[in-house]
Amino acid sequence: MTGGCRSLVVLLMIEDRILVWRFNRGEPAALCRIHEKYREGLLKVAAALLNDRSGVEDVLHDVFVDFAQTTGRFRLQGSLKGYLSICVANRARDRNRTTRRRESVGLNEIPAPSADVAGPEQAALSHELAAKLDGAMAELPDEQREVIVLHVQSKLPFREIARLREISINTAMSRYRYDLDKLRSILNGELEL
Amino acid sequence: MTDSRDTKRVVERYLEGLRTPGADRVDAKVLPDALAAMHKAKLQTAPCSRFTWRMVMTSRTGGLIAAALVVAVVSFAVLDSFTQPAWALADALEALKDYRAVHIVGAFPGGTAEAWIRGNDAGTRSTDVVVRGSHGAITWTKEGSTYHYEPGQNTVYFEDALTVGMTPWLGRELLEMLGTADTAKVIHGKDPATGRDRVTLMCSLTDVHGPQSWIMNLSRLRRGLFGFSTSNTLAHYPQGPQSPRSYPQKQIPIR
Repeated sequence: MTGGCRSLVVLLMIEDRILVWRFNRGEPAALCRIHEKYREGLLKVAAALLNDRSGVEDVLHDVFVDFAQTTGRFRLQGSLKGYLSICVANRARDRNRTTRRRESVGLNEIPAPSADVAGPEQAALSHELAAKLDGAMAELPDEQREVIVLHVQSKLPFREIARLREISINTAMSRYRYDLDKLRSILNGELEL
Repeated sequence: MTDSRDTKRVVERYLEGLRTPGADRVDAKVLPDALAAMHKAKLQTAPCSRFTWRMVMTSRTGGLIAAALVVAVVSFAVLDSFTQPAWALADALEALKDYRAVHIVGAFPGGTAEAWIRGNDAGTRSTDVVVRGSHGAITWTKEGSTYHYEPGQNTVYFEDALTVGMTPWLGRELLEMLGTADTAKVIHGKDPATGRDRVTLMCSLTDVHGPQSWIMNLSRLRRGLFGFSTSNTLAHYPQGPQSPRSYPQKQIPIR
């Protein structure tokens, strides 16, 4: 598409800006709509990033309570989805750190992924592969896992991930490639699709 | 598994399949606290502005400045009422309310574009779109897919999704939002070329591509019809719009 046509479309794709505008005016319905619109995607981001998935709802709760407190002064730079996804990623990272500290004092073992994670789509993957992916994702460092989850699940472009994380776009892309390579090598070592 | 695309597909399926708590359960946990936090934040903001007003009115200098401003605004309103045309932005908003199809003309660096867009029944977003660029490129949607013809390459690109359109629909809510933006300016007047009543809305927006400034003209053609044109002023965008993302995924060469 030509630059001109795209600009025309870009101007008009601003539903989130209206929601933010209404949110800043203190309309509860706008907050409810934002929550409804992004709830499912953010829950998946949290589930993919947390080592202990029982905290998924807590993460979303904390993110939205913090977000709600910014009414009247919230300034959106970039996409709302990207902003909220990064907030979820930050919360998940904090929570993982706390969990790790507790474990180092206590059990001193890596948490086994929850058995209660299989949804209808995942059921299509073999149980063994899903479990392997759980383990493989848990092995990735937080900052690398974030890139793959934000890009694949939240569909954020590398440019926006780089801006929100204050890293270069090349770093974001190389982390993503590294993640995929590592996951592939783990999966290939154990199992062929 | 052979390449990174296969791995990405497996990861996509894995992430899609992650089980999350039910919507009702999450709503019940998140929304009450979030709405309470929002209400509390609103209450904390309101006393601040009252405090500012009190500061202005208790200060002698502040009071004089405020009085001067009130006089200036009243004078402007009185003087302006002699020249203000009958047709205002409110009328434009009202006129747009019942429209389900619009014709837009836009001016951009390097050319112009025209779009014909039809809205859905609910008036929330567009369904059918045709966009024609001045150099011959055409983009259109059909049965949930988006097609783009590039004359220089003699190729049609398509994507199995709607990637052009209006969300939200051009209507009251969108114009009200644009009209109340910090940077917005509304000018009422007559188009010198046609003599028609015209409302000009100038505004700036920052999106993922950076800040952009826009001028929109809404003119009443005759009863029941309106025209809409828009142009990018490039105030903060000296290089022009960035190249499109790599959205065309498949190509159909035309023989």
